[in-house]
Amino acid sequence: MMTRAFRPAASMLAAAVLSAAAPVGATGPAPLQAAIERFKPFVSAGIARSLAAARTMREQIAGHDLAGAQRAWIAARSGWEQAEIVSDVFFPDLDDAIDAWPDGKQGFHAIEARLFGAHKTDALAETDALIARLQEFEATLQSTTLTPQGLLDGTAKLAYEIGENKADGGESQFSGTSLGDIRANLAGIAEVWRTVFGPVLQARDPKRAAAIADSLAALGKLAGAADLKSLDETALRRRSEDLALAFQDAAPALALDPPNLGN
Amino acid sequence: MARAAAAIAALLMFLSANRAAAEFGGASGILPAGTELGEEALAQPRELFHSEAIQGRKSYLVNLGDMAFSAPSIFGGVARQAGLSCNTCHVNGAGNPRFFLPGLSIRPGTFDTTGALFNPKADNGLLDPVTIPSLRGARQLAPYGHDGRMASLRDFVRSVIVDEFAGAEPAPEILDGLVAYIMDIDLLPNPRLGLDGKLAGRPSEAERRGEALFARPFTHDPGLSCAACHVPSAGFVDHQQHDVGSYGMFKTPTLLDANFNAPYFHDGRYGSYEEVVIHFDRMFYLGLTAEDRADLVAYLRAVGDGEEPSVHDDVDQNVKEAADFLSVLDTAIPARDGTAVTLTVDTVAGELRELTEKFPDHKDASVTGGKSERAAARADLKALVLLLRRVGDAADSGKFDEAASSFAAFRNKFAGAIPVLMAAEPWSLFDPATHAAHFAALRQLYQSAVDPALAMRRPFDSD
Repeated sequence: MMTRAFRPAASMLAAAVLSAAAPVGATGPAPLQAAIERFKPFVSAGIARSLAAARTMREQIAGHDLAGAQRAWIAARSGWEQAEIVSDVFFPDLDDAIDAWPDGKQGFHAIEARLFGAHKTDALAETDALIARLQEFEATLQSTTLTPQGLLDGTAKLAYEIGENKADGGESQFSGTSLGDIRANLAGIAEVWRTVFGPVLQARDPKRAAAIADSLAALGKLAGAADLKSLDETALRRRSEDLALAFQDAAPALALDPPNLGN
Repeated sequence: MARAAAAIAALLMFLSANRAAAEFGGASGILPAGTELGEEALAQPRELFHSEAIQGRKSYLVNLGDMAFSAPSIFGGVARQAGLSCNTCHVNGAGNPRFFLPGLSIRPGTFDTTGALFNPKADNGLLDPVTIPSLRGARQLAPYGHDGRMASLRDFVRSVIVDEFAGAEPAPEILDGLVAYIMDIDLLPNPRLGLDGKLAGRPSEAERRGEALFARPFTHDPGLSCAACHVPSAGFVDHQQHDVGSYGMFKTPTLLDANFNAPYFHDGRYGSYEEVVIHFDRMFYLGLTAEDRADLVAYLRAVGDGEEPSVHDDVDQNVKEAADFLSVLDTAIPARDGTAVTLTVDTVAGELRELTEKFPDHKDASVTGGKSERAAARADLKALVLLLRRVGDAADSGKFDEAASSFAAFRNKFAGAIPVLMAAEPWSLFDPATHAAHFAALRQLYQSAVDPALAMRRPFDSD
């Protein structure tokens, strides 16, 4: 059963792919920088949702409402995963603290382990720390210039990561919500495609733009699996690599360097 | 991370009954909670190839089979989904004494090949696991299967793929490759034995006495002796099935390499030679004294010994294996063999992704040094995976010339990546200290995920 929290991500993805690419004709990275300003609110919204849900989670934990805290964790996680497209490249230190792995002391997964694994609400200190880090992220985001190159790096990296092995339950294995992580990641990629790279690439290299749109659509379809067990991992991996490759191939037309997938 | 975490994660989640996944509709893992695949061990079985020993190189077919042996995609259903391959159970062609799969194993190193998980059609309704055998020396050890039900290794391998693991009918070439690979795996050299299977060198007195007892006719049935079935001059087998009091007819297993193949008997009921000797003493009224038993055990240890049974897993081992697998493309691309190209690309890309996780990323606070070296290693490995994908995509489209040029680019990048990987190795999971720190952090995380109340209701213990 797909949790309610994940449905918007899947529908957003489909909408983003379908509506991508209102052509922009200028050359060079300048149009990209302007477009990034239109993308940034998407990231801000994800972080704001994550932060609001984390605050709710704190209240539920303080009130020893385990089910409520678990629901809030899932909502906070969804917002965070949507913003992951920028976290690794632009905010690595905050990313380390918020999404640490393996770490039983800090971040989403430390709280997840207590709430979903141990079925305990004794994660108040960890939740306070998470809220502080998310607040810091929110503030830093406002003053950070997201560069086209960094955004392309983050996009290609995330596209590649979607194909990683889920045999152990994936990224959020205690909560069983790894498929939601994938969908939220895809929603982030789709949005950056729709608002930033898609329109520019459509104008400069429609063939490559079509390849990216196709890969995104195919990944969205695969991620629509009912659960992790019915996910076609081989196809997901191939498609994620194809999408990363497509962004790599698009770099020259975007007047950018091939994306760095490091870290 | 991948299955790196699975063993600890699944075990501890098993203790907490995995309730969260059920409540929230997700799935924490594809295999049952509590699964141990032993993939993170730093010591890996040493793999010796007959063809390398006699001609200095392996054939295309052996490399194809070696690669297919590590390919999850030759299986179907849950096994494929979970990324399992032949090599998961038969690590480097040996066994896997750590393997444990709740519901299909009774003790580590055993597995029920007729359970429902991997192929519901194979389910016989019984929990009857058997030991995972080493395949070393298999070319001399027909018939195949614990019960020796198949004379042909090819038929047996096909049955494992199709019947046990729900795979599609394998391409004849892939099946040929798998057989060639298995036939090429040598037993470990054992300088304690001569070519005739007799003790050589300077055996101890106990070993000599044990050798004599091994050949001595049984008191109550002089037509029998240990050596009558475990024929020393014939690899310690007779290629026959016998009932030795373990509820059925089972083929005589070789005693060579056996020090590394516990547990013993078809179902792994005995964990030591001592228990095995006691079984035969009682079953065949041998009347052994305590000293006799100790002597036989000493002899079995000498026979079952082997040089350098394991090697430390490292960058070098992984690079060599990847290079061997990739050599398939040198032949398959010019031959426009799309099946072999696709299988190789998918398999090696999967292996390179696993190798990437040996270099912890920046989110892993348990590893502090070598951050830039680890990042460089991860970047190069990801770039290699993508280059390989280009090869696969080109071949899938029938553009084999393009596949060839992409593979050439891959080869250049691969050569350049090796020193980068070596430079990062001190901060990788191949390094014992890094390995220990990483898994300590992982254990701590999973321990914090255990619900003590549910852990009290653990249904059974694995021994």
